[in-house]
This record gives sequence, C-alpha cells and structure tokens, in this order.
Amino acid sequence: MSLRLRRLALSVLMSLALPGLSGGAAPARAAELVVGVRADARPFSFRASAPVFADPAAGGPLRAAGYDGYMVRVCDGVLAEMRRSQGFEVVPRLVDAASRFELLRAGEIDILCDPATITRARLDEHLASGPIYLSGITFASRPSVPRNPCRTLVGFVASTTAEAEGLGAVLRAGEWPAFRDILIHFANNDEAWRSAEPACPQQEGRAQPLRAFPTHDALAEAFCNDEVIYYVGDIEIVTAVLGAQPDCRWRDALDTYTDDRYAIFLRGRDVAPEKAALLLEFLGTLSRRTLLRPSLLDEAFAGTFPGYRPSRKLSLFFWSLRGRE
Amino acid sequence: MEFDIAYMAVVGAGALTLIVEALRQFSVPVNVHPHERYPILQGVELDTLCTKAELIRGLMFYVLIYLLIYAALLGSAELYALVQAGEGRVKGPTGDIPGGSDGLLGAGAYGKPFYVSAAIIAALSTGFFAPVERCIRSVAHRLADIPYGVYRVITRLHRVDYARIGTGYHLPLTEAYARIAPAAGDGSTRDALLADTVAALKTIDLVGPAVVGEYRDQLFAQTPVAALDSLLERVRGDVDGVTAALGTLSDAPDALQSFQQSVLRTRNNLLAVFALLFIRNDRSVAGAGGQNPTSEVIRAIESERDPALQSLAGAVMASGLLTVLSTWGIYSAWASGAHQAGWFAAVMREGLWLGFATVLSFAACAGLALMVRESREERNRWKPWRLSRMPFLRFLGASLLPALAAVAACVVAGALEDLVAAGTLTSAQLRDFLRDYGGFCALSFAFGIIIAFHVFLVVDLHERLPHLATLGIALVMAGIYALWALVVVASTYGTAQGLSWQLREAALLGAPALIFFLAFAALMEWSED
Repeated sequence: MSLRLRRLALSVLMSLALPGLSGGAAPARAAELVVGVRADARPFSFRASAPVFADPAAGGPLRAAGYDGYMVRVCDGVLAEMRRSQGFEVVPRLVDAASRFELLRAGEIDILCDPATITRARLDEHLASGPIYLSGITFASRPSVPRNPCRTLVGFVASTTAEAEGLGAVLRAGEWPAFRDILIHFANNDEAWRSAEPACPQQEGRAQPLRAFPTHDALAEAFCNDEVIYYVGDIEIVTAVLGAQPDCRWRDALDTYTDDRYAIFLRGRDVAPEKAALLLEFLGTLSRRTLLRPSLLDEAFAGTFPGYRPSRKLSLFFWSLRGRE
Repeated sequence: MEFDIAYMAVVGAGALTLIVEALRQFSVPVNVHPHERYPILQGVELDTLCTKAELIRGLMFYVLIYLLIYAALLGSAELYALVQAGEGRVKGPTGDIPGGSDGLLGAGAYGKPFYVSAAIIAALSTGFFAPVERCIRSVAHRLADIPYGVYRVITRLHRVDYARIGTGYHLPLTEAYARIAPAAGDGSTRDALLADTVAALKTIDLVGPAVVGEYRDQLFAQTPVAALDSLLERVRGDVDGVTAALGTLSDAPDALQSFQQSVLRTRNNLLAVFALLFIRNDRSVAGAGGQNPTSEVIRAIESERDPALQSLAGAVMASGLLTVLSTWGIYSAWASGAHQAGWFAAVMREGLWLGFATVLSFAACAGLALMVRESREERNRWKPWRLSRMPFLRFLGASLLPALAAVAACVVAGALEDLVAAGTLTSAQLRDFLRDYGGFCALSFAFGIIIAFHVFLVVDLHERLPHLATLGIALVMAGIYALWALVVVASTYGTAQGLSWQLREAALLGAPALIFFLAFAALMEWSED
C-alpha cells in the first residue's frame, strides 16, 4: 500500500470513527462524485451521438448521461454497483487530453474515466487503480504517401503518451525511413530539417514536420483532409476515430510499438472525508468486479468491441488479472 | 519480423538440405539435345562439351535456382502470415510476448523452413515434376554457357577469314582441287560453287592438322577423353574421304556438286571438333603465340568481341553516372527561388539512389533481352526481318522475361533503399512497401518491355540503318518510355500533386532511359567500324 493510499485510508477511517471531529459543519447536501469523461477518445471514453440508455438503472450513470466506451463502461459498472447500497450523485464532466490531469490535481474532478496510460509522473501525483486495459501506440498512414511531401508529417494529440514516448518508439522500430532524418533533426531543434526536401516551393516553405492537436477529432479531420501524413496514437483510438470520419481512407494501424497500461486515476490530495470514503469504496468495488469472475473487463470489452476478440497480448493481460475465463 | 538468430539457423538448415539434394540431382548425366547446326555433337554427353569451370558454374546456378525457389516459397508464406495478421478481427496490442516463443521444435513458425524445403525436395524428385527439374537444369546450363560456349566458338570459327590466314602456307587439298577444277573467272554459277568449295578446303587444310594430324598432341596438351576419341575418328574418316575423292575427282558438274557437299560437311565437323578440343583444354593451346595457322585462327576467334554485350556494358555505365547529373539538372530546373542549405546533398543522395536503380534494372533487363535473343538465334528461331513486317509477336514473347527482370530489379532497389535508410525492415514497412512499390513495380513491367524492344530493334537493325536512324529509334523509344512514366506517376501518386510535379517525376524516371537508349544505340553504331 502506497503512502498516499495509506493516508487516504487513515482519513477515511477517521471520518467514519470520529464524525464529530471533522469540523462540525457536516454538509447537508448529498455526496457527489465528479467523473471526468472525454468527448473524443473513442472507443474508450466518448460522447455517444444518442443517449445510450433511456433508463439510467439499466446501465450506469455515465452511459445514461450519453457517454460510452470501454473505460466508461468499467467506471459505470462500479458506480452502478456502489449506488445500489448508498446514495450519491454522479456528475459527468467533459475534459480533454491537455486539461484532464490539471483538473484532477485541482480537485475539479474526482475520478478520471478515460484512456490514461500509467506513467511515473501520473502515479507520483495521483491515485490510480490497477491496470485495466492494455493498448499500444500505432500509426495510421494516408493511402498514398508522397515521396517528397511539404506538409506536416506526423500528428498526435497533445499531452498524451503518443507525444511523450510514442514517436520515439515508432522511430526506434525503424518506421518512416524516408522521413527519419527530418524528424530527428526537428526533434533536436536542428535547422537542417528545412533542407531535407529539395523541391518545396520556397515561398510556402515546408510545414513543420510534427504537429500537436488538442483533440483526436481535430487530428482525424486534418488527417482525412490530407494535411497530416501519419496519425500517431493508441491503436484502438486511431482506428475508431478514423472509422467515425465520413469517407476517410487510411492504412497501417496494424502493429503496436509500445505496451500502454490504462488505469482509472483518482484524486489523491486534500479530499474531504466523505468523498475519500466514496473513492475508497470505488477502488474496492473496482477490484472486486474486475479481479473476480465474471469480470467487468470482459463485459466492457464485449460491449465496446462486439465481434472482436482480444489480441494474444491482451488475452494474457486479462488472464493475468481475472484468471482463466 | 524481428531478427531472430534461432529462426535464421532453421532457415539455414532448410537451405542446406536443399543444397545437398540439388548436388545429388545434378550428378545425373544429361545428353545434348538435338541441334541441327552441329549434327556431329548429337548424343554427346553434356560434360564432354564444356570445361570443368563451366560445369561448376552450372552446378552453382542450379543450386542457386533451388535456393531462389525456396526463398520465394518461404517468403510468400511469411508475407501471407503478415498480410493475414492485419485482417483478423482482433483488438489490443501486437508483438512478441516475453518468453512466448515456441522453441525450435514447436509447431509454430520455426517448423516452416523445414516444411518448405521438404516439400520442394519431395516435389522435384517425383516424376510428376520432372519437367520442372529439367527446366531448372537447362536454365542453369544456359546461365553457365553450357554447351553454348562450344556453339559460340564454332560460330566464331566459321567467321574467321581463312583466305587471309592461308596466304603463305602450303595448302595441299586446295591446290590439288585448283588443278582439277580451275575457275573460269566469269562469275558463273560454276565459279560460285568452286569458290565455296575452295574456301571450305582452305579451312580443312589450315585446321585439319591441328585436329587429325600430327600437330594435335603438341597443341592440345590435355589427352582427349574417350568420348572425344570416336568424334576424332569420325572426322579423320571424313578428311581421308575428301582426300581420296580428290584423287578420282572429275570436272563434271555433278561430281563437283557432290564433292562440295562432302567438303562442307567435313569442314563443319572439323570445326566442331576443333572447338571441342579448344574448350576441353580450357580455351588455350600450347605455343599460341607462334606463327602457325592454328595460332592465327585462335587469335582471330579470341579477338572477336560481342559488340552488343560491350555496348550494353558501356550504356549501363553511362546511364548510371549521367542519371546523377540529370537528377540534379531536373531538380534545378523545377526548383524556384534560392536553395536552402543541404539542398545539394539531398539531391545528390536521391540521384545516387536513382542511378543505382537505373543500373540494376537496365543491366538486368537489357542483359536478359540479349541472352534471350542469342538463345533463340542459336536455335535458329531468330530470323532476319524487314521493317515493313516487324515481328511484334516474337519481340513481345522474347521481352516477357526481361520485363519480369525489370520488375524484380525495381523491387530490389526499392527495398534496399528503405533498408539502408532505416537499418531494419519492419512488418509495417514490408506491407507499405508492397502497397507503394507493388503498384509502381508492377507497372514497370511495361518499362521492361520497352527496354527489351529497344535492344532487339537496335541489335537487329543497326547494320542496315544509317547512324542517325538508329539514334532516331532511341529517341522514339525514350519518348514512349517517358509517356509511360507519366502514366505510372499519375496512377501511383494520384493527381493531388499537380501537373508540374507529375511532369518532374516523369522526367526523373524518363531521363535515365533516354541516356541509356542513346548510349546503347551510339555504341552499337560505333562498334560497326
């Protein structure tokens, strides 16, 4: 048990055992959990075009509010189960990739239900569940890659692992041999990247080879409009986001270059006692619902990817969590 | 697709079993197929007709073809697995799992090389695939010049100017014949007949002593093998027959006619056996520098060079070097404004790769076209033709193999460029490569056909056409090539890049062809003098 978890558990115990000591002014309003969800990170956390369930009791509070995806389904399963035994409000709040951890740190949201990869920096700042999904960085290419493009080569969403580690992993694997030098020069702030193309019109110049986008939808639109040649991101997101674009063709997005474990991140600092109790309850329920059979992970996978089966790596990952199916 | 030493070892072991099988198969003796131009060589075992070195070269090509079949089958099995991997309805990351390999004897990927090599051995050793085996062997022989080395020497022996060599030597049969049937000098049919006979007799007088006479043991150090003994006996019988017939020859037209037939047959057989002795002695004779008829004949055939092959080598070199320059020129012409730093280096790098691809594809394609043409000529299936009746069908048939070579060269050059740039070959690169270069290289099949047509036209016509007309052929063919290049560029990259860009790319592809076609035509014309 980490130091932070122990501190949280202590504060929860104190709040349960010594209600009188917690300040005296106990809030009258019902407890609420603010859950961060994404609009663009399909198929893990996104806003569905129509409400998923008319009846909130059938699914969970997030899907009833119109959100869907693998991470949303896992969160929903846990929240729905918790609400069977205690009353609290679930407030979905839209976040984007750049702001999500800032909001979590500031206490604007309590739980982050989006495809967030476990990294050292994130674990240092926040609480996290155990890993609940295994993905990996891939890239999609335009149907035809010109020999001497003058436009942006690689697009990614800012503040994701695609930016931090994905590009390096793809280059280390030996992909994009023709553009390798340009990208490495550019990444090293070496002006030599400008000279790599012999025939870019001088007046227009060459576009910067790397470009960060705020959301997957913005990146997908630029990619489908031929403004970006490679789209780097987690494999399920890249294929799902591009698949949702009308008349967009792409290729590749078949191999992965990293192993990214997703977790649900929770607020870990300055948590009021009653909320801390809810968060602890959330983690406990999550463990019970995912590590035992039938597992919420299988349910969420089948619901998110109907007709698909997990890859060999993902099967082993699930097996290591919940045992033989 | 990661590099895996264990897998490489298994692939190597599969290849080794194939090599052993190929060596075993190759030792089965083969007789020469009937060849109408050299009747005396029919039924002779093949290893009699070539040197040891040629035989070993043939064996090497034979083994190489086995290995190529192995590589192609194994490669397509791997590619199939690669393509199939992308089509499964699977979600989640891909790649190896730590500690997840099957081990050497597992049922997974490691067994594949063994299955493939065992399948090839099983197939080729059954009777059903025997024609395939024969085909492989004849291609290997063809590549190693077996027995065409002999045929080429014979052809050259026929072209030697014996009348020039013969001046100053004692020519007993020729002189005896001239006494019996003196030429009238009036250009009649009889004179033509006499001239033919005299030329053949001169050849017998000059070459005969080296084959059936006392000089043989001095000239050809190596004792002829038993198989040659019967041939030597036959030729000696022929020469004795001519000598005897000359003793009783009358001046009657019928007698002269039949005498001429036996003289021509004797001359042909004599030259064929001389070529054999020459080849069996590793193309050398003792004291070749001396002043005797045999040495002069051998000097004459050794100084003869194949002008087409020489021109091809020259043209390939010229196009390789000039392509670098033309690439620079084309980029300069299209670029607007000042160049950024490093522009020149980038252009040079691209020019070098284009030059490499040019050398590879033109050498493979045009070289194979010459080889196919020569092979057909040997079999008497490449007859002279007139401009008004161009044999399109024959050209097309003969250019299929060179066109395939052009496609293969395109793939090899492209793959090598990617490999050198990245240092590795990943699954995604292979898939992309097949998709990008797949279409481009498939379309370069037509480039191969155009190159082969140009080679056939220039080699067949250059002696009949004036210099400028041959160069005109080169210009026309380069124009066709450039048009096809434009089609290829437009269909491969789409119209998104604009016409000017497409024209530049087509020019980049077309310039090497223009250089090669012009250089080849010019060098062929030059070789006439």
